[in-house]
Amino acid sequence: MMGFSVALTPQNLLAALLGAFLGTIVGALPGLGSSAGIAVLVPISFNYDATTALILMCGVYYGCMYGGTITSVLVNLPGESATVMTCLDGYALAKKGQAGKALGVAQIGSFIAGTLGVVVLMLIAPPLAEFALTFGPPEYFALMVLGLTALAGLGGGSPVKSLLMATFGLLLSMVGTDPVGGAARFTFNNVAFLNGIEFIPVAVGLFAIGELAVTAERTVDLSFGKFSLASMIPTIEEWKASAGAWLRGGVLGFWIGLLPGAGATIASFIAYAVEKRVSKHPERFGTGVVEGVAAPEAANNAATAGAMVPLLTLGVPGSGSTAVMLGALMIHGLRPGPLLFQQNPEFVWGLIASMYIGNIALLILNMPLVPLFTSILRLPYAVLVPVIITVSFIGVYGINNSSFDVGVMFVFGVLGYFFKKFEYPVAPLVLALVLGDLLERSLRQSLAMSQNDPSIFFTQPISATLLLIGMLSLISPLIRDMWDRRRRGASASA
Amino acid sequence: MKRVDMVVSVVFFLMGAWVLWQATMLPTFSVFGPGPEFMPNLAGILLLILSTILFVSSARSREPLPEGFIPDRAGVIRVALILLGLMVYTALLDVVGYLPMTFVYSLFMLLTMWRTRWYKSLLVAAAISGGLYWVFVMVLEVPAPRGILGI
Repeated sequence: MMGFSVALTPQNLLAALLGAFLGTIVGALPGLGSSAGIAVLVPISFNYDATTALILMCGVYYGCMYGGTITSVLVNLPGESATVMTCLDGYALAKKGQAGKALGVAQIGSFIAGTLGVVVLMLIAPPLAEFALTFGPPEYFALMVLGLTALAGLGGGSPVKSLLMATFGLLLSMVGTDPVGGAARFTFNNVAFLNGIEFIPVAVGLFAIGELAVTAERTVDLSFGKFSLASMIPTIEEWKASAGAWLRGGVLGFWIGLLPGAGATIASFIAYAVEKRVSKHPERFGTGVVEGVAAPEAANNAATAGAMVPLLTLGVPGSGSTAVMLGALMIHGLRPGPLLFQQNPEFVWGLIASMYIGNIALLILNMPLVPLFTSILRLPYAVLVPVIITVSFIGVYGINNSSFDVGVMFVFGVLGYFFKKFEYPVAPLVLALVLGDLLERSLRQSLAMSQNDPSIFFTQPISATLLLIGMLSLISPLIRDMWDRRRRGASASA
Repeated sequence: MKRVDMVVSVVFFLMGAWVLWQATMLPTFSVFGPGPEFMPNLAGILLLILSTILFVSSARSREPLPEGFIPDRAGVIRVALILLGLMVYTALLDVVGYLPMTFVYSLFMLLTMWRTRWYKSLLVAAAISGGLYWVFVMVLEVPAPRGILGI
């Protein structure tokens, strides 16, 4: 309850609303995702205290889920990877002149699932944090390995490539001074490298600039069909169908978002598939069924709440965007994890309370503001590019007054373009960069505790379990492949 | 992505080898537990193993390049403009300062990418650089590079 007193201060209230608003725009813009939006905001939010900054970023996070729906439905272009599934039935509905209904079902579902997600977050976070208080260096190490392997195995894309990117990220985190002993590593006798590579220039370069460059390859033509607010009311059958879809999508989405590694995008895919499987008319999916919109939309908003759970209680991000938030928290001096609940309760509860507020604000604002958003999106892409790039520049420069950071951002902008083109997932790299220091420290401390005996990770029950889950999530794509092949083989021979 | 992956895996392999080489030059002293060379060695070995796996799996795959992989001429130009413009912007930012550089950069991007009258580009560029300068430097007081002109 104290959280609301924190969340309702004018500054934080403004941050929540601003975040939600910006998030909706960023989400709606094809080519810019939530990770990019959050990454660009991190340096800008420096001057404000951690709570305000995080409220802002969190607002952007779920605002993106709301905003991406707009372009998915109206233009068949997903504004955000978590709204790709919404395109299928959403755009079909729009073509039938029922865009308003699609948007309405999506917004309401997003609100219900998002709010319920925050409730569950509120309920399970404290006990989880209590449990995590028993963690020592081996458990932390195992947890971080779990985060990275889960992201590699479950995050979509080839696990080998994800692990390669993660290792690359680890290497980047090693540039500078060694966290335990203080030796200089990989510095090439250059003072600039002594401080290590900041994660924000890397994140902004990879996420924001890389995405921009890739989107620039083809012209983005946003021409909107007309729609009226009046058509937003679904029929009774559609209410009932949607309600089921909202609940199923929401529950599924929350738990998937909870898993370190899997975030809103995966959640929406799975929710759509499940909804189709349980439906009495699966063949109608794709032609414009409200459940096809309700399920993924509920899932992606619930997943944002779910992804906050491991971030806040364990210090392990549940998705790419939360990885950026983790970095931001660390810069503000807050170490997410069990101690956070004890030492900074006003931060944690303030953040959670603001999520409620943000969801409500989005629900109220979104419907009337859709026309405003569509006119913003009508701005030519050529205008948006310099704005985004120059905002990124000033943000990144402002971290340390350093042109070196800006140079890093440029290098990783170029790299980000190629990574995205060649389909090398970027989130593992950023996550590894953020976790690298702590990971190394935990590893070396654990080995120091055990006199260089590596079995400590497996004899401690918690750490062994975490590592086991991590290994399982790594091989899960392989298992899925084999299972698919066997099923296909069986149906072919049947 | 077959050829691309094979090339990239070789790059990562070389990187792994380089890391291991660099790690031999690191001090190995440490009071407790492994020293500063431990993680680099670990990372180097991981790179070698993973890149080999990637190389083998991509050599055996028959995945073609996805459609539209090589963008059309206009697309290539746009991307090159963004990246090269970025490079120039980065290099000159300290010299020229945020406000003038942003204006020049915006103007350049708009003139080349936006099909409209030149004075519209000029106005919008001025609006962008002026607006951003006002919001960030004046209102939010974010530090911005000041060039020789002092702005």
